[in-house]
Amino acid sequence: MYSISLIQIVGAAFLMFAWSRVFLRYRDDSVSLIGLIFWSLIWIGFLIVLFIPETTEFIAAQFGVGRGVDVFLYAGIVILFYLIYRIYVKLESLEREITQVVREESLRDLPKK
Amino acid sequence: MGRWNLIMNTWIVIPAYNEGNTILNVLKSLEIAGYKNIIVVDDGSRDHTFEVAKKHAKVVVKHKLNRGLGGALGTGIQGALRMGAEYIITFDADGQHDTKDIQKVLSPLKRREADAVIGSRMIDPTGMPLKRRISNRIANYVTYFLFGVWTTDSQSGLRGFNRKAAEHIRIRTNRMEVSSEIIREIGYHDLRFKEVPIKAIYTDYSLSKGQSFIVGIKTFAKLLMHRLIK
Repeated sequence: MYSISLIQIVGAAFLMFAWSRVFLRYRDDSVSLIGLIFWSLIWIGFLIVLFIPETTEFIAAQFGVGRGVDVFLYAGIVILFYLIYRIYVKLESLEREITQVVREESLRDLPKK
Repeated sequence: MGRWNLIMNTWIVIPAYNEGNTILNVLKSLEIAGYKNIIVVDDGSRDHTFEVAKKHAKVVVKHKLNRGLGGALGTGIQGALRMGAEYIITFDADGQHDTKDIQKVLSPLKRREADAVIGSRMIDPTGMPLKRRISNRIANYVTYFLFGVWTTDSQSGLRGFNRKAAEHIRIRTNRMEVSSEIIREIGYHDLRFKEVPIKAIYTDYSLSKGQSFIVGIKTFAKLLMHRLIK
């Protein structure tokens, strides 16, 4: 009998959260359609691994790695991946805001449009 | 429209970062060629760029922090629009462009054949070092692969826009990615686009200011991330 373990519930909740973030960013136009597809595929990939762990065994076998799922390792990678994404988006918008401020300041003596 | 009118409503945007040694000659040669409307964007230089520019350019604005080529170009174009420009030319401060080429870039705009013109150094790349030729070619493929617009010189600093194009093009990136970004915007807004051959004057100095291989790789990585995420 197949039962759902705690890690699958927690993991699925996190993945849905992560995907909802991407979707919201897509809706307010700061993520492109290609970006949405890219991130969706990544999160769906993790979802598959979460519910059909045999895929990792298959992949591990293909690569010649003996051990199957090392849950903590995978969870760590997922979280890191997500954080890097967040930081990247934040950093970019910060850079743009700084430029905007510097630009407005430098143009203050010119006639307004 | 006579040549005089054309010069009067044409603004030349020069982004400059620590170009104190070369910008004087660039400004003087533009003066001699008859271009009066010049806006220099001093991108937070630590040398005497600002003081030199102040003496020879009609408008000089200064970024308090260095924001990179994209940031400076965006400021210059916006400044030129505020000054009422009908045509905007971007021109490098390192002395690699010939003032005679400005007319070549302007004339398709003036004849209303194009909204955006890029002066391509690659149509006749005589004098361009082989390494440069190869890296420019790679940049063109990358630009085409990411944004679907083919240019022979996506990284050229001599460009021309009419007012409509300048108002549409939104520059979001701050650094060297801007050259490819402008091309993307041309494609995105369906602007009529043309290339004209120009000459590049290569000196050791202007070569040292261009993109090195490492910077090129960084620029590519940034463009890729923009395509995926932004």
